[in-house]
Parts: sequence; structure tokens; C-alpha cells
Amino acid sequence: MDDTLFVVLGTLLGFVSGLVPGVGNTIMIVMSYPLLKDASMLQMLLYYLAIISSSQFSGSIIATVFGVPGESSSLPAVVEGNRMFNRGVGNFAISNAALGSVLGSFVALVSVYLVMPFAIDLIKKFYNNNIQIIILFLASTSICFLLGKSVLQNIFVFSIGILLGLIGTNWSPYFVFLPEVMPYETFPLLMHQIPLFPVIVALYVFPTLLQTSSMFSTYTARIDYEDKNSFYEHFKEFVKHIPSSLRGSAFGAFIGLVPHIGANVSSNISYAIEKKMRKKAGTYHDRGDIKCLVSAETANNSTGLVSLLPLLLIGIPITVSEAVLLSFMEVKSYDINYETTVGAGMFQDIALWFIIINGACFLMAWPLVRYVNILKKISVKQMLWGTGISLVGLTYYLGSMGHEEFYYMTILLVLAPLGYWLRKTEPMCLIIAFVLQDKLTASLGIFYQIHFT
Amino acid sequence: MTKIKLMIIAMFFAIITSNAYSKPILDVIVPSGTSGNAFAESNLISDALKDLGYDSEVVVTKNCVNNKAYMAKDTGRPGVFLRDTGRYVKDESRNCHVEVNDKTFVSVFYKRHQTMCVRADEPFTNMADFLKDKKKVTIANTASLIDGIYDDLSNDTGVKFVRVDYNGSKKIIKGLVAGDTDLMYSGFTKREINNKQIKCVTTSAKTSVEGRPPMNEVFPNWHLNETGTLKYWHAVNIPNSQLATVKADLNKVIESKTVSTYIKKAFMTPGTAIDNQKKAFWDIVGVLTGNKLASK
Repeated sequence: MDDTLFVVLGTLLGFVSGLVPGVGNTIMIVMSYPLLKDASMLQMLLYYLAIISSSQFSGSIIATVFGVPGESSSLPAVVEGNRMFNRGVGNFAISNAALGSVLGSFVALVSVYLVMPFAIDLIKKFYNNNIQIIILFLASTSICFLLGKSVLQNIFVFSIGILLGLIGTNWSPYFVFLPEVMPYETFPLLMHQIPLFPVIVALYVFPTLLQTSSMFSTYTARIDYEDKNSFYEHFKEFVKHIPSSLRGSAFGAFIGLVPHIGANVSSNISYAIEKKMRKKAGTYHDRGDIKCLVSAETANNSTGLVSLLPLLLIGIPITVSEAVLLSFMEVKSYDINYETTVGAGMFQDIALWFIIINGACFLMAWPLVRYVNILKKISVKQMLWGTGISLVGLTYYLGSMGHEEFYYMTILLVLAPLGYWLRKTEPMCLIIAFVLQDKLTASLGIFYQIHFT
Repeated sequence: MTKIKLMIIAMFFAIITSNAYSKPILDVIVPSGTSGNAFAESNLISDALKDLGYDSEVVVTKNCVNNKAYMAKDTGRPGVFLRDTGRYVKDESRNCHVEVNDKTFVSVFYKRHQTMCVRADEPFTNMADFLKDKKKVTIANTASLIDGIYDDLSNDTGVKFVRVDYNGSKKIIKGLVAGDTDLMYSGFTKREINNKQIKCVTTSAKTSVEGRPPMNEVFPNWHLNETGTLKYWHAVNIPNSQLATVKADLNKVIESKTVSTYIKKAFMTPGTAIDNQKKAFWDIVGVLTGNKLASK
């Protein structure tokens, strides 16, 4: 398949992931594995970029019309957008969020291009083990300290992820998982570590779907969506909010580098700052403020590209969806770093496609938003069940491709009770620990050998 | 009815004649991923086998466990897989035992030298100058090496050699270039030879290679100073009666233009130039697993 097809599919499926609460980018990437298993590194990156960009557009539509966050970064749209929708100007909320998203993407791209020449020499130093440890430490601790309800619980969940990742590694069979405890005889493949796919399905997808299922059951809205204004009127309205949009872009580009929570935090911080400014000036609209909405929605799209940089340049993921993407790349033995991406000229392609994707999302979102009322007829719970069942089927299918279906399904079943318990926690901590475990242990091992032997 | 009879006879005849002239089968199995040297080399060999008239496919089994399962199956397609001394040691350490005996050891593909390299910007031309006035040097190497390999080197030079383990040669080079370590010890391949960010100053070859003095001169008392890596063809479901033919044809593969150029470019010794191949294999395994270390 060529690059265009990956972009088109990524854009369409990203749009779907934004429409279904709880599915989100990570689960959509997981579900896309059969599609990505033979893709090139560029195709995987383009597909990923298309998903994260287009889900932002559809996520704000759902948030505005139904008051349900499709993506976690859509929370400001739930507040301001839905209030605007309820006072009859939801069409402006959606159009201005979309225009802001496009502007945010371009600002992020320009920022990246401006910073890139200065960063090149610095990036080469990032391969140094000491710097890698700092980045991995930040990526690991930030998720434990900034997400969920309890830091202690997050650390506990993170530790479980590390332990699971250690099964079958050179380090563990001898002092963590004794051969007497682990069924290495029955499942010799355990000596080659637990496969990622059943782990993600059991310990991330299931708890996330259970969490969402308990929060939403249907799409409900008091009124139907309608838009009687012309494109020119929408654009004229957006021009008034360009300063808010630029502020959001700047925050998004900067905060995008905070591991794991970039999009969520940048969106909410931009929203909070804009709201404070508006309140101070006495111009904040209690029944839905469009400037606050535009700032927040611009920020999360700006973050999308920037948060991809650590992965592109030094091969370290800073979001769960990136971690899943990286593990897919590792299955194909792709080595992602500055030399294989920017150095090989891949970034030019990514930048060009990023502009096209955002333009296409904008053009697609506009006509499609008219059909948003159809969603009222669909049960969220049924969609979540469908997602879960198809992922179980996918696990079996992927296992059977290597004649390991019994092994894959056994892992899924054994881990399912743990997944059920994880619905009350932050399952992201476990997955990021599981995926980063080999990098963490390798870096710590190198650090120890260099400095303490 | 006559037409049907004629068709059946024609088909029968076609099957008989196609079998009579069917190509011999020899698949090349890859017990690892699809991006490393093993996959590239397996494709190279498969193509060369096709040129020799074989029906040859590349089969990827990903890891040792899957490979064993594949070997146990009756696929009806004989094959070979490339296995080096380091992989043998690693498989054994992970309880994935694939026996090397007269029926499975076909022949040696090549012997590759080991090398020591430093960063290209280091201002010296030989190892003695590099080690001068140093009390400790960190050396990047693959994690599969056994403990204590640098002990006699440290004793001999008075400089403490501290090993730093990386998973794979790409990461070894990256670690050296990024400044994690002072030195690296790895296979002498195209990757090391063509990399402009590093300079390789000595190899495990018995004589100098393009101006690089051999390790047996630089470190005359080091037990690994002439130890390289040996890669052999492991037979999978090859009938005993065909083993000699397969061995002869694999030697022809080594001498084919593409394969011989590949071997020559990385200064490797082709299997056809190695006598007593099994002994050479076990000697290296002995050194890697510590037998020889104890005897030195």
C-alpha cells in the first residue's frame, strides 16, 4: 500500500476514534495493528499522525454537541462548547475550534522548523546514556505523579508493568521469576518475553472500556445540531479570535513536550489562562466563551506534532499511543532516531502530509458535522462492547499468524482479572512501564557499569 | 468421454515429467527478525541457491523457540539456517537447545573478525597512545559476552577495562559515538568499516587489515586476540543422503560473485578456506563460554 492510503485510512479512523468516547487514539492504534504490521516506518508515522490529528477535530464535535469528551483533551469543549451549543451557537463553537486546530497545526510546524537547526547538534548528544536516563525518568515519573487519583497506586501499577515486562528477559528468570514459578516448560515462548498485544488488550483496553462504559451509555442532547451560517460568516467570526488561537498554539507547542499528558495539559492550561484573562477583563461569557474554546482547541492540535518529536529524534515515546506505535516498529526492527527520520529526509514528507491531513480534516469535519444527530440512535455501550470483542478476535488472529493462538489467548485470560481491577486505577501507568521496561533496564544497567564498576 | 480420458492422461504425463525435472528444494530459515544481518544474508544465499537451480524460499521463524517448532514439523521442504557462535551460546543459556552434530552441522559460511574502535575525533593513531596515562577505559560490547573477558587485558596493560553491555552492534556504535564509552569491541562488518564517526584500530585477524595492526600484536597476551565469530549452516530436515550435495552446493554459493564480494568487503574468511570446520566452531564456543579462559 502506498503512503496516501495510510493517510486516508488514518484520517478516517482517527475521526471515528474521536467520535466514540473511550476508544481514543491508543485503542485505535492497537486495533490498527493488522494494517500496520507490514507498513514502512514512514507509513506508520503518517498513519499515527493522521489519527491523532483527525481525532481532535471529531472529538470537539462530540464534546460540543453531546457534552461528552471523545478525547481527554476535549474537556474545555465539553464546558464551553456545550454551553454555546445549548444557547444555539454550537455551529460557531465547532467551526472556530476546527479553524483554530488548523492554525495550531501550522504554528506547531513553523515552530518545529525554526527550532530544528539549533536542535540538531543537541539531538546527537541525546543518544548519551545519561540524557536518555533523564528523559526516561521524566517520562516514567510524570505519569505516576500527574495522572490518576493516587501517586502510590500509580507507582504500584507501574511496578506491575515493569515486572510483567521483565518476564523472559536476560535479567529476570534467575532472580525475579524463578523457573519453578513461571511455566517456562509449558510456554517456552515466555523466555522471549510476553507479547505486547494481549497485554495491551487485557490491561489497557479492557479497563479503559470499562471505565468509559460506566460513565456514558448514550449520546443525548436537548436540541439538534443545525448550521444556517455561511463559511464566510464562520471565518469572519474566527478572525476575531486569532490572538486567542495564537496563544493556544504557543502553549501547545511548548507543553507538548511534557511526557504523557502534553495534549491534555496544554489544552487545559491554555483554557485556564484564557479564561483568567477574560475574567480579569470582564469579558468572559458564562454561557460558553468562544475565545477560551478556541485557545484550548488550538493548543491540543499544536501539541500533536510537537509531542512526536522525542520519538522521531531519539526514539523515546512520551505518550501511551506513541509507546504502542514504537513497539509496533520494534516488531519490524525499525530503528527510529534522528538519523533514520530527519537525517534521512523523512521529516519533509511528514511535514507535508501534516499540512494535507489537517486541511483534509477541516474540509471533512465541516460537511460531516451535519450528520452528528445520527449518533443519538447509537448506543455507546454497544460500540464499546463491539470494540472489546473485535480486539479479542484480533488477539486470536495475531496469535494464529505465528501459530501461537493458544499462548496469546492464555495470556489474555490470565491477565483479564488484573485488567478488571485496573479499571479503578490509571492503566496507562502499567502499559508505559511494560513498553519502556527494556529501555529503562538497559539504560540503568549501562549507567551502573559506567559509574560503579 | 474420449476428451476427458485424453485430458487425464495429459495431466498424468505432465505431473510425471514435472516431477522428473523438479528443482531440488533448500529453504533458508531465519530464526530472527527481518531487519538484521541474518535476514539480509539469508536472502543473499537464497538468491544464490536459486541461481544454482534450487527451489529456495526464505522462511522467517522469529526466534529460537519458534524455530525449534518449525524444525520439528514435517514441512516436506529441507532447509538450512545460519547460526553463529554467539547465537549458539545465547540459545543454550536460554535453554533453547538445538543440537550441533554431524547431521546438523553442514559447513561454515564465514569467520568474521572482531575489532576495537574509538571515536573518529580521538587524537591518536595507535592503541598504546590511547591507553597511555589512563587508569580506566570503558569498552562497549554485546551483552552476550561472558564475564571476565577483559581481566587478563587489564592485568597485562595496567589499565582497568570496564565492560559496558549493549544489545546489538548498532547500539554499541551509538553508545561510543554519544560518549558513553571510550572504546568498543564488536564484529568487524561493513557497519564498522564504513562508519565515519568511528575509527577501528585493530582486528582479531592474524595479520594486519588495511593498516590496522592485529590484536595479537597489540595485546599479545589477551586470550581473545585471535577469536572472531564463526557462522555455520545448520541443517533442517535434510536427508543424510543429500547432505554432501548440499554442502558442495553451499560451497558454490560462497564462491558465487555476490556472496564472495560480500565476504571480501568485510575482510571475512570464507568457510571454503577454513579447515577442520567443526573444531573451529567448538574452539570459539569454548572461548566464549569460558573453557579457554580457564586454560589460559
